[in-house]
Amino acid sequence: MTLRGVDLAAVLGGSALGATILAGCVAFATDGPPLGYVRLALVALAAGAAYVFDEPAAAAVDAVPCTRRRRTAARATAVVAPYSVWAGGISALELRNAVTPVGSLLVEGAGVLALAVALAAGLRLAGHTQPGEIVASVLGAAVLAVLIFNPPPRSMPLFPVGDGWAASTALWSCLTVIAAALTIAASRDPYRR
Amino acid sequence: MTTLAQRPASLTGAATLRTLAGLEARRYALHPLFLVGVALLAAVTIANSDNLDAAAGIETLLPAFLLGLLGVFVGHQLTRSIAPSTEAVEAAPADGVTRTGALCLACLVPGAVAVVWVASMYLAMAASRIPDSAAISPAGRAGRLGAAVAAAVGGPLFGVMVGRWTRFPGAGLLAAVVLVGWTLLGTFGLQMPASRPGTLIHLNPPFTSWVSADGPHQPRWVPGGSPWWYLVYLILLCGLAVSGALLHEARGAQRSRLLRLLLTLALLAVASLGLAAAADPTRIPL
Repeated sequence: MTLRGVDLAAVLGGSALGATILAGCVAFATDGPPLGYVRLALVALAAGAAYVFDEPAAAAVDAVPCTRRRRTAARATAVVAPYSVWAGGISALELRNAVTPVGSLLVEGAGVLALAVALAAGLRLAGHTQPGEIVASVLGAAVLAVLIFNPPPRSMPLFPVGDGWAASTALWSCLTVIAAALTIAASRDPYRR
Repeated sequence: MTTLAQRPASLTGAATLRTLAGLEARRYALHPLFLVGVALLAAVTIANSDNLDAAAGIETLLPAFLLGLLGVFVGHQLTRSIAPSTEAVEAAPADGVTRTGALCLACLVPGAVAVVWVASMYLAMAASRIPDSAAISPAGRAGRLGAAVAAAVGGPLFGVMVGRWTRFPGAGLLAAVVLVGWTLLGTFGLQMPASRPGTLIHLNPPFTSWVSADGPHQPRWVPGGSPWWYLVYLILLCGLAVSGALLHEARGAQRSRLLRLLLTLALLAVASLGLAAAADPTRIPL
């Protein structure tokens, strides 16, 4: 199995945009990491990850003698690109400014990307052969809404700025595991349903 | 003997535009993301209805985000959704400029919802007899709420323009990210000391907050700048988005006219932004 079928333009485009925003964040991180912009980069990276399961030739591909789970495993490796950008950007931020909560931000990034992949897998199971655009729009809008409105509960913020990093990390860890499990569950072949 | 059916009168350009605009407006009004935005706007407004004074900081943010920013996605998707049937659409008796114009007119749907919302806010404030603040005069509040309506229309128009000019996946989200990034950049103006350059940085994004504070538990203040000139600036930005969207399909003399219009609107927008920032930059405690 290879990554030949993955829409690399979308995945790498989102990664490139995220990398550009993160580079700007690193440049202006002397007074502390600009977390609003850092999360904006995460939106772009999640959008890129949402396209990993897009398959315009799904009808033909579903007929090949290879299970959907194996194809999912192969395609999911493309998420390494946006996550590498995220991990590299956060590490660079930490080098620039030591107060950056590296661990929490790395878990947060993994959680958001895992959610994007799980939503795409769920939509693919529902019959959408190209779920990327829908997932990128819906997840992107949802993350932007949370960033702007910062909804309650304040005790467990999704995207903390000052306090609540430990609770947020615990929440994103759980969400990552759940998203991974959902991705696996949603990757069974249609004939096994 | 042959009976000839009466030939229908050919549609004029304006009638075609009206018909197409009606169809596009219906598509807009039924878009799930628009309906989610309207539902959230209603829910948040009802939840805050017993504390209107405290909502002063977010009153403009609600329609700007829930109708404007979500509208970027709606406008983009409506524009791109006809791309797979381009050949069939091009055979229709309406040119690309008319079709784009109809899409732009459909963006008045969120504007109408925002106007209803603004009117309901005014009525609610009048009914609850909130005393006028020295920091926010009734005229200033009207200008700020008007800017929220302009943002609710401007977001979808920007989405239509992006949908016309781009074809790559995720362009709608990229447009939304650009708008949010631009707005966040504007907040640097609030962190600067009160000055006209600071006001210019604060007011140049297509959405701005009119209430700020130096910290989470610090007293709130209203930054300087003219809300009415800012509203004019936003309306001109909407005009720029419409002209930019129409330009994609325009040819020949029409294209030249649109280019001249774009240039004029851009110059007027810069001038109105300058006038908005030229007002007294003093920050007034809320």
